[in-house]
Amino acid sequence: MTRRIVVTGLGAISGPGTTVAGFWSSLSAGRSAIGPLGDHAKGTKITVGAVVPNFSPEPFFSSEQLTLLDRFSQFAVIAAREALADAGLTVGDDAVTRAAAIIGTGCGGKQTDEETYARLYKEHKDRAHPLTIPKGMPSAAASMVSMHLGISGPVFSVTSACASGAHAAALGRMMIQSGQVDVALVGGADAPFTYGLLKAWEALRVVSNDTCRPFCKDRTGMVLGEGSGMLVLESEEHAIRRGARIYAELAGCGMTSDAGHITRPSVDGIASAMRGALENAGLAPDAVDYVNAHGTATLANDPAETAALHRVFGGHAKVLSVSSTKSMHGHALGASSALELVATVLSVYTNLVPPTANFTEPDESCDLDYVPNQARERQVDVAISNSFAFGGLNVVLAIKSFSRA
Amino acid sequence: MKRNAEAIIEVIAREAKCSTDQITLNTGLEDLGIDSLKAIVILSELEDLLGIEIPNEILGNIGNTVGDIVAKVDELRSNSG
Repeated sequence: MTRRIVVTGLGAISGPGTTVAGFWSSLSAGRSAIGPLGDHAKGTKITVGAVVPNFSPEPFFSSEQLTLLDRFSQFAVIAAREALADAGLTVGDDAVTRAAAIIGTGCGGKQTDEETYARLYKEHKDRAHPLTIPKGMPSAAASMVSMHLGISGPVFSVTSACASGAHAAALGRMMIQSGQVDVALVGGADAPFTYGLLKAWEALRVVSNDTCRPFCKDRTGMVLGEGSGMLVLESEEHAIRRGARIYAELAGCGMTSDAGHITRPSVDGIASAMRGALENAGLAPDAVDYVNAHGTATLANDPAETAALHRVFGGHAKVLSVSSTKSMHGHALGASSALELVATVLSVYTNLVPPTANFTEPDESCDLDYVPNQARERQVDVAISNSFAFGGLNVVLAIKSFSRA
Repeated sequence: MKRNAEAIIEVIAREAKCSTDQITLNTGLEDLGIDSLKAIVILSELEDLLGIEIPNEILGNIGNTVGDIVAKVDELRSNSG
């Protein structure tokens, strides 16, 4: 288990941009993509979100291809293509054919399912669309990524709500470490701006109609986003052998479950996931420079996450830069942890910490350096990315700047 | 206002899986096992039953007793005229 796993390719489509370059330039500028939802939220009380700007699938797919692609699968394939190209890999390469693809999703093909349900329940039609199952199933995005990129190794979906993309990355890393594959495409995708799903979020009363203000006194909840984040992981020797550009090392992961409440986070559970990631990476807490926080801006998350950071990092907690990029790309559910991992990798690669946007003044129970509103240049040798899903499913991934052994 | 309280107690009893006799205005929400999630379900039922809109902000400040919820709802109903 000593194989080092490195990140060699990145892909992202989300509110802040349709490419990694657009995503990172928005995040670096502290520009939030959260805005009025308009028709996307018609008939609901939800008013703001982070929608992929001016998105139309036609430039990316033929009309034939689109008959099988739910919006979440479209995002997955677009980000996967970008990550693969960014890694200098081409469809048909032996490394791609034998690769794994593990795609997280919180919701699956909601748009497809809801269109069919509307047809049946509302219009009282007798027949569902014949492609409802293959297009709407939660694993559709993984299958589509496999088919579009010719990935023929182990391919499947994982689902753990807001931690799905992070669980996918943890699994891909383990699969490479075990020697099962040399390359794994990992990430997450979700497209939650559908009527039924928005009504369900509205009823849960955790969504803000202001904006996402993580760790702030006047925060009023989370804001939904959509999109996909993808990363190409490979073993260090494989990456070096083919002369790939290495962004960083995926040095460790910690996974725990609260075994407690379905929505309320547990300080113990999330602290032990952070400790687990550091131990797994062989890193001392004071080696960490940056924490990409789960930072949902809900009443429950932000104080619990802050308390857990104090518990794990002790006095070093005050030295950490902690930011929630959800303030800019929104909470893209299963895609969120993957987008945040992309941001964390780029933070280590560029020595720039993206800010917590929309920051006003800190909550009294939130007393760390949340990098308010403006990105910060600083040495980032080690960063962790926190993801704590509903249901108490916690994943923390440790990213380390890469230097050859 | 009394009818209001009775209706609210009925909703709370249903969610707490107990009899209305076991609930008074002084009963603690925690004693009934009402956590944040159950509170959300109760508020949603009250919105339907009483035809009012209960803002999300109330969740952070819902109080500790059944009487606190009744008072909040009374306040909302008098404000909405």
